[in-house]
Amino acid sequence: MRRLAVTIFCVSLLSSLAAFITFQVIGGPDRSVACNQAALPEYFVCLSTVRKWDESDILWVDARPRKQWEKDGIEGSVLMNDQEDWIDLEVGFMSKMIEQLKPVVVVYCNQSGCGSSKYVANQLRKKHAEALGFQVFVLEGGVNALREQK
Amino acid sequence: MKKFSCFFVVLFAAWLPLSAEIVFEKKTIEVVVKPGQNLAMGLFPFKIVDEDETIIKADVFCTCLEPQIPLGPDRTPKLHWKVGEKGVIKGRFETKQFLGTVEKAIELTLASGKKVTLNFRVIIPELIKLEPATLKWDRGGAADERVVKITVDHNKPIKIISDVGNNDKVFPYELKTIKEGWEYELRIKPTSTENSGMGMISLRTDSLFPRFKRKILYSVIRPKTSGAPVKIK
Repeated sequence: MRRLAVTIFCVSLLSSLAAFITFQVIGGPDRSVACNQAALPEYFVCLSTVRKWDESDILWVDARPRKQWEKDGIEGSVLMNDQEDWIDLEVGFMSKMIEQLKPVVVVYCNQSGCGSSKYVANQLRKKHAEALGFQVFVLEGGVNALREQK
Repeated sequence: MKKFSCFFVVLFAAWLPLSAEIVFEKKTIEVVVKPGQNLAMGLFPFKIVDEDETIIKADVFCTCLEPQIPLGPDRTPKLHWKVGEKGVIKGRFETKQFLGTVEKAIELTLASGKKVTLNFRVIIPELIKLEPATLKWDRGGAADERVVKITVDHNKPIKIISDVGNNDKVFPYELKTIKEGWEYELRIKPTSTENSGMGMISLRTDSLFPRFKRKILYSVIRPKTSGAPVKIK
């Protein structure tokens, strides 16, 4: 019985040591947001896909609450969320679209489950995308995907 | 052999807590709300099978949605559930600023580490439709007249009581009543398409419901886009 306990202790010690060395040499675990473009629903995009597009073609839309957008929204992004008066925010979006002529709109919120980006993207697609000639996508992983890439 | 048996018993015992399960009748529900309804309730009935279960927390990603875990005898949320017990997780959804289809989720974290996502889809009918909601002319193209059809999809009429354009010099318009309270037409013909620009026509209605009191039509002149869609695969 004692021998078993010693064996378990030694194995635990060795594996902890190996883990520590691995952490020191290779670094921490990969916590990036996994994204498989082929497996995503229609109109969802991985950040890696977005990065292949011309950055100057993209208008980023932040679907998070205003305070979060003000704190760390992407530079040049427009606020369009489902918590404030839609019409007031829409005016800001339309003005930006006229001013900058972006053919691609990518909407992000806090994470995939927040639902706000999907709602905002659907509204923009339904009301303006066809008339103005832009495509609307939802960023898979939301702002977490953007933070991971920084 | 005896040692091996003990090993398997320990392994099985370690696996048992992982088999605890909270089983929901449905993980996605859909609710269609009435035009004046600002609150929708989603009910997710569940039962506990195999092992006792503990709910650690219920997360939502919108201030519009409030998850409600059933209360225990002490009037606090009941987090510990025994095998065979049944309950209902509720979602209280404030719909006042939404239109169309909205999807939000409640994410339950369980003691076993498992996460369960409950999807709540709410459909808020649009009583007044503008088709299309945006008009676009190509810069330098023909300044032809466009017509927007405004229709009321409700059991009572909704009248347009005022209309204001913010750029009438470039986008003069005419609002025509086809059938008062039910059908209207907006006819817009830009004076010129030489320069890019935008105009808004704000329509106010006599609807009793705040979300249908105001509608905006956008008119836009902008350069023709290439039209080539981006590749996503």
